[in-house]
Formats: sequence, structure tokens, C-alpha cells
Amino acid sequence: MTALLTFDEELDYGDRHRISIPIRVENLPYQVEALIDTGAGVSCFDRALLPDLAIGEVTTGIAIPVRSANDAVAGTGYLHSIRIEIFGRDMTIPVAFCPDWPEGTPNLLGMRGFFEQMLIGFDHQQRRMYYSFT
Amino acid sequence: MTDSTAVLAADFPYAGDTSYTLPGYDPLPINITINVPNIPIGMTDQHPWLRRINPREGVEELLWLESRPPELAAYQGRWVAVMGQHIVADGANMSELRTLMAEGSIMGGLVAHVPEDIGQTEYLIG
Repeated sequence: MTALLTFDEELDYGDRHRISIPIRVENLPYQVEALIDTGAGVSCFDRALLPDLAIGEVTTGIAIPVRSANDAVAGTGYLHSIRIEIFGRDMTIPVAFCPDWPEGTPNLLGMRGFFEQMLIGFDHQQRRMYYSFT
Repeated sequence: MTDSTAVLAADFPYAGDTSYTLPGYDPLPINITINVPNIPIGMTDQHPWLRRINPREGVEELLWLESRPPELAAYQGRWVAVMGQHIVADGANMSELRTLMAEGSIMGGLVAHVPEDIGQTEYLIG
């Protein structure tokens, strides 16, 4: 079987064993780092962003159970519909905020919502990420 | 339909402003209209906000941070705002940094948390 994927853009993501990109969240006048995380079922952002997003009460979101891959961290996340801008393209995705997790927790871009709107491929040997918007 | 219009808190540091332009850095005003339209999850807004001229903005800052330059050693455990390859503001937490950025009219750039173990190779698991 041959599967041929084509992409519109590529990005050198640097010499690390993780892939992160800068994103703008809502209309905030700065950008933040977000990890491309195919292992995350849903996007999850640092709760430190909540005040700037004018989300005063995180529990107004849709409660979902969340846990890390090894069950070391589990709890309740609250889904909010958040606008993000990635490489000039804006999209709205569900983002979970976990009030019990410490500030500084990496922002994760996960499968639900985000990967449904982007086609992404990796060549980790060359540290290249290829992407298109669907 | 659920009304998801955001309401800014009284102490929101950028309250009262409608747009920002950072001279010499980003000629395009950033619209920070506070009313967030209710867009169904998974749908792309047909009337997007004003975007940056450079869609790759932030990439230089991120790659610089990821390269773990020696300058970062002084900021372990702190929050930083980076423009180009320079740290333009830092704070003990996001709230403090946000206040400093607002007071200094620092707009744009990349905001990030510097890990405590900045000198070590880290592997993020799951």
C-alpha cells in the first residue's frame, strides 16, 4: 500500500525530542508555546492563562475526567471553547483547563478539535514538521 | 445556543484598551476586542480577528528558548517574555509578568515558563 500525503508548509522545530510551536490564544497580545501531542486526547492548556482569557470560574466549562498516561496525575478538566491562531490560521478548539494542576504546566495540542483541523507529519530525523490546514 | 461572551475582570491588565501596536516590532494593531463570539467547537471562524503580518511570529523566540541559551540560567523557575533573542520582561508568576508587560506596554513576543532544571536534558512523558 502506498499512502501519499502532501503538505503546504514545513517547519524546522529545533534540536529537541519534542515538537512545540508558538500559538496565539484568543486575542491576547502575546504568544505561548504549545506542544504537538498526538498522545493527548484533547488539548489542555496551562491554567495560568485563565485570567487573560477572562475565564473567572473554570468550572463553568464542561467537566471531563483527565489523567496522564501513567495515571500519575488524574483529575477533572473543564472544557472551554477557545480560539487559537497557528501560523496565521485561526481555529476554535475545545481546551481543557485543570485547576488542580500547577501553573507552568505545558500547553498541549491534542487530538479532539485540533488534529481534526490540521494535517501534520513529522520527520524527526531531520527535525522537520510538515503541515496543512484542512 | 450558549452565550460564551467573555467578560473581562475589573483587574484585567489590558482593560480599557482596544488595540495595541508595538513600534518597530509589529506594525499591525492587534485587535483585542473583548467580546468573544460563540463559535461552535471544531468550526473555523469566517470572520477572523486581525492576524499578525508574519504568520511565523514566535518561531524565532521559541527556537531560541528551546536551544536553552546560557542567559536563561538566571530565569530558572520564572516566567519570561521573549522578543527575538532577548528576554524583555520576567516575573515570578504569570500574573506578575502580565502586570509588568502591561505597565511597560510590552506587546507581542512569546511568554513562557522557564523550567527549574533548565540545564538538564528533559524528556516529557505522556
